Amino acid sequence: MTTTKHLKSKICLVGEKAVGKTSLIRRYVLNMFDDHYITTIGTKVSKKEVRVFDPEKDLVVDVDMTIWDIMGEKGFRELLKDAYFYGANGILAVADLTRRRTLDDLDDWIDGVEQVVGKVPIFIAVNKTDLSTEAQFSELDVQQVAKAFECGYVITSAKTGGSVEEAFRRLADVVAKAQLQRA
Amino acid sequence: MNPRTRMQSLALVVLLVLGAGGILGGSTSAAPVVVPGPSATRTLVWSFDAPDDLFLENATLNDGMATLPWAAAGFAWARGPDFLTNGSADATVEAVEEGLVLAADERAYVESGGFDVPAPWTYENGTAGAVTASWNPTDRVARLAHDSPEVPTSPFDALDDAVSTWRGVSEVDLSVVVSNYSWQPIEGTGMMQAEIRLGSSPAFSIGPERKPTASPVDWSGFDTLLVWIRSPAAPDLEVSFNVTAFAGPAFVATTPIPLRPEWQRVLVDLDELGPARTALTQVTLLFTGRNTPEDVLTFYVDDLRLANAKRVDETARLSQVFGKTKWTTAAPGGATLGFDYRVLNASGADAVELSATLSDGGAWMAWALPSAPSSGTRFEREVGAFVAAPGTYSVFFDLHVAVATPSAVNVTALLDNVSLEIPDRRNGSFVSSTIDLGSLVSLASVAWEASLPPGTSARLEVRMGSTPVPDDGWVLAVGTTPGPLVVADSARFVRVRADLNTTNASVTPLLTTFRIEAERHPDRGAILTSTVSADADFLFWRRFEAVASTPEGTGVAYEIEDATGWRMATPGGNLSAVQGRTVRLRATLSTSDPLEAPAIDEVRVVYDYLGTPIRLRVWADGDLRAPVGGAIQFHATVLDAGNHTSPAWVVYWATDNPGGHVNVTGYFVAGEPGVWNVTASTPFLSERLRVTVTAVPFDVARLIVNPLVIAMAVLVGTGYLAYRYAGRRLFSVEDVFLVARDGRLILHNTRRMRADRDEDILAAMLTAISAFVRDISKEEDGHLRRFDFAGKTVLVERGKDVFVAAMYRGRVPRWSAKGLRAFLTDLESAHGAALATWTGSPEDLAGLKELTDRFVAHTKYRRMRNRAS
Repeated sequence: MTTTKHLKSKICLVGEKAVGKTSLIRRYVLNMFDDHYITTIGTKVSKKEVRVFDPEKDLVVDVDMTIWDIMGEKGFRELLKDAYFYGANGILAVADLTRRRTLDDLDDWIDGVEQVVGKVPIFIAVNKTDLSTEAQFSELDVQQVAKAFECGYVITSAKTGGSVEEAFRRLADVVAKAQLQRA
Repeated sequence: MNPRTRMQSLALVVLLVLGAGGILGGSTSAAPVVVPGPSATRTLVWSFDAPDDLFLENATLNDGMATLPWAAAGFAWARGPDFLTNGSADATVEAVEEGLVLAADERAYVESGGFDVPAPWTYENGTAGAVTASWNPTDRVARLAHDSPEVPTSPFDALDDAVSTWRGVSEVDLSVVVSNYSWQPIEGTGMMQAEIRLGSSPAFSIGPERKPTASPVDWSGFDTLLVWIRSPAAPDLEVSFNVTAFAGPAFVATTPIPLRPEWQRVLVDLDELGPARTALTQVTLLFTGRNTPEDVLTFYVDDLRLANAKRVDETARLSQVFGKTKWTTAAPGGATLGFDYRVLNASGADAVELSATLSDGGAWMAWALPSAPSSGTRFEREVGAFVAAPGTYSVFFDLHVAVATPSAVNVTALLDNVSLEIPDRRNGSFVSSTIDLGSLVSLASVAWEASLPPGTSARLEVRMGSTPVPDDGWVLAVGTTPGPLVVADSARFVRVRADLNTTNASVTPLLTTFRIEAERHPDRGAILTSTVSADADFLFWRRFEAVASTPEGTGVAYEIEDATGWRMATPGGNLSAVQGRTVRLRATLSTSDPLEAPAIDEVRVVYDYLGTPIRLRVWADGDLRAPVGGAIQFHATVLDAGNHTSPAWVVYWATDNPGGHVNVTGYFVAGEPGVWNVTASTPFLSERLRVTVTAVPFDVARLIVNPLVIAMAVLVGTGYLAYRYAGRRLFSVEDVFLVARDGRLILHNTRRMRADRDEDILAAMLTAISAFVRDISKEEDGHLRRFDFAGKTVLVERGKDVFVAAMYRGRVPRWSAKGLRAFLTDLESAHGAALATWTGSPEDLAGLKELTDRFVAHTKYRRMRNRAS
């Protein structure tokens, strides 16, 4: 018989400035706070309820994901990382397909989170696939980074909505499993 | 290297290897095309215009269709043995590397040319028998030769004491000094040394002369003087020798003979001195020279002898006569005369002539052969024109030797392997066996090639049919000119006949090639697509479609592979059983007719995906009527264009019925009577149903005049006014948030009917703001403890792993913070361990709700009895 469980998860959305973190969230959830919160205190929290299914355990998990959209300024990261990253259950690391540096800088962002919370599930979203003609790196480059962090990745477009849902859903899946395993 | 960098490098190498091996797959090429469909469906279309992402096995793409390819099925005979392997030929036909020819049947017109036996050759010696023709039984060759020894000589002057008989005779600037010289004479004990002193002259013509005191010379009984002379060696020096004398008053001399710079025996023809040679005086041994580089030249002379030369001048002949009864061609190749010859030696003779002659009794062809000694040489000449006519011919070899010398003479010539080859070719035919091409084939061309010199011809017959034994259905094609033949469109069995003819026995037609170019379809082939994945919003596979032509005898079988393996797919069939969103397709094409093939124009797979919500369907259980306080259960489903729904699509319920409400499950409880809306909504959709709330009937007029009712109304009014006053003076806790340090809301308790904001987000933002305040005021060690907004006050109290935020309405007294701290202390005492290890599941913290009820339900928190001290 299928069992239902309820979980609350904290997801940190990290990445360089203007890679499309806020747009991804705007596309994914119905916002309840204006974006100016980010520029005021460096983060904005959104929420999405996701249902994931673990066929092995015949378990349905309703996950309340609070998604912390962290401001992409390095100064903010150093200042507030202990506060904002604390207790994160997963990381959605976002890079911009049209700027190679944003992919390289994911190292620092993920390191920043892991310094605070240790190893947590990571998922990489490479955004702006609608601008693929201006791409500065290839999927092979993304595969390399994902391989290094032992995590999954998906190519998204907040503009068209392409694969946005998939990114959050897959992250929710691994985060829920990790939380259940810890319990 | 940083471990992560190293890992990335390793990953790059692995990815490159995997990519090179094609393991990653997932080609980004255009096939298949994704076509959006109605009702939230997409169609994957493979149109077979290009082989990208397709694996073709015995299949090909042609004009945008996938079909079975044509395979070559013909054959070619391009060598003579190819023909004979597949048939048989008359004895007059011969297979050579280049093709089929008429056999030459060469006849040996010259018999015993190898001289294994002497006959029928005729061996004729010279007239005096000095030059001979013979058969050598040891070496089995014919021999033409002359062999004669030196004749006897008479000593004239041994020159052992030359100075007693000879003297030097000088001219101006020249002198000849004669002296005896005894070291290594040719004969006897000494010889004559003649030193010729040149002075300033570059040339000379002087020599020893017999002294006047010596008796005259009588050389009348001899015709040759033999003398040994050693001439000096010097660059460019040219010297000759002759004899001069006086016959009476007449000066006589022999022809100068060139000398070599070595010892040599010189023969002087004394007949040149004339017939009166009985009393020759002043006999001089005259040396004539030029280009002398030195002023003194030394000659040595010894052993003067006299002799009479032998005389030979005759010819020996080797011959054979043969007859020819037919005309043969005069064209090149018509006849060839050949033989081997060798001149072993030819020394001493004045003249040697070796020749070969072919004669018809009147005319003749003759060839002079080199007479210098040589190793074996093959001689061959075209004689077709000379021997074309029938008749009697002879071939003969002559050796002519002329000798006038007393010296030994030896001349020997050998002949062997004499032949006269005249090809004799006769008409003939080649007939093939029945050639089976394996199956019915489509014939592209049937052609033959031949070389037909003048006087020759060829005729080729090809019979073709579909049965092993010729019947009425077989088709015949005949060609007399090399090139293509017009035959049937298709066939399986072939027979070939070639007739080679010639009117000239020396030349032959050459059939070089017979070729059939044909093609047929293989009986089976397959096309496999690469693996494709539907988009992430995939729901299920719906339908398989294919557009193909299948002529009679052909067919196409389709399969689709999912995570469980391959399964058959029928055009127009349902694919709901296909698992997962990743599939690939295989089409197997087959034919039982090698001339027909199925062709697939397009293959399509349709799948459903979860589209954008576009419709909200709302309904209720039963009537849309309820009395005040009654209930109606409403339902709502969010649908996309394909009527798909998702549990993620949340529906919010609301009603405008005063006093009524509807909860999150759509359960409506009626409030005031009237017609009201119950609204179901999502972020972009909204639907409402009109519900009628009916009042419970009562007598209003009696109620108004009832004093008790009037008293109650006054009381209620007074109570309401008191309540409003107290509400302004007093305060109450409206919400309590128990929040983990990381911002996740552990518990929210409220006195209100329902939350008007998302408490999870509120808790997280409260955490963020609190952290922000703390971090920007680190130096003051500040924490956010209290803030006001919208007429409400929020107190915050931080614990070890959690913090509590309480939202108050009204004027909040100072001791409220104390109560909040006490509440937090009790909370940590009761649930501290669970809070420290909380994983996110609300079920882990049972009992919290009751504890917060104690706080929310009262304006002042009353501590638990067994509280921690």
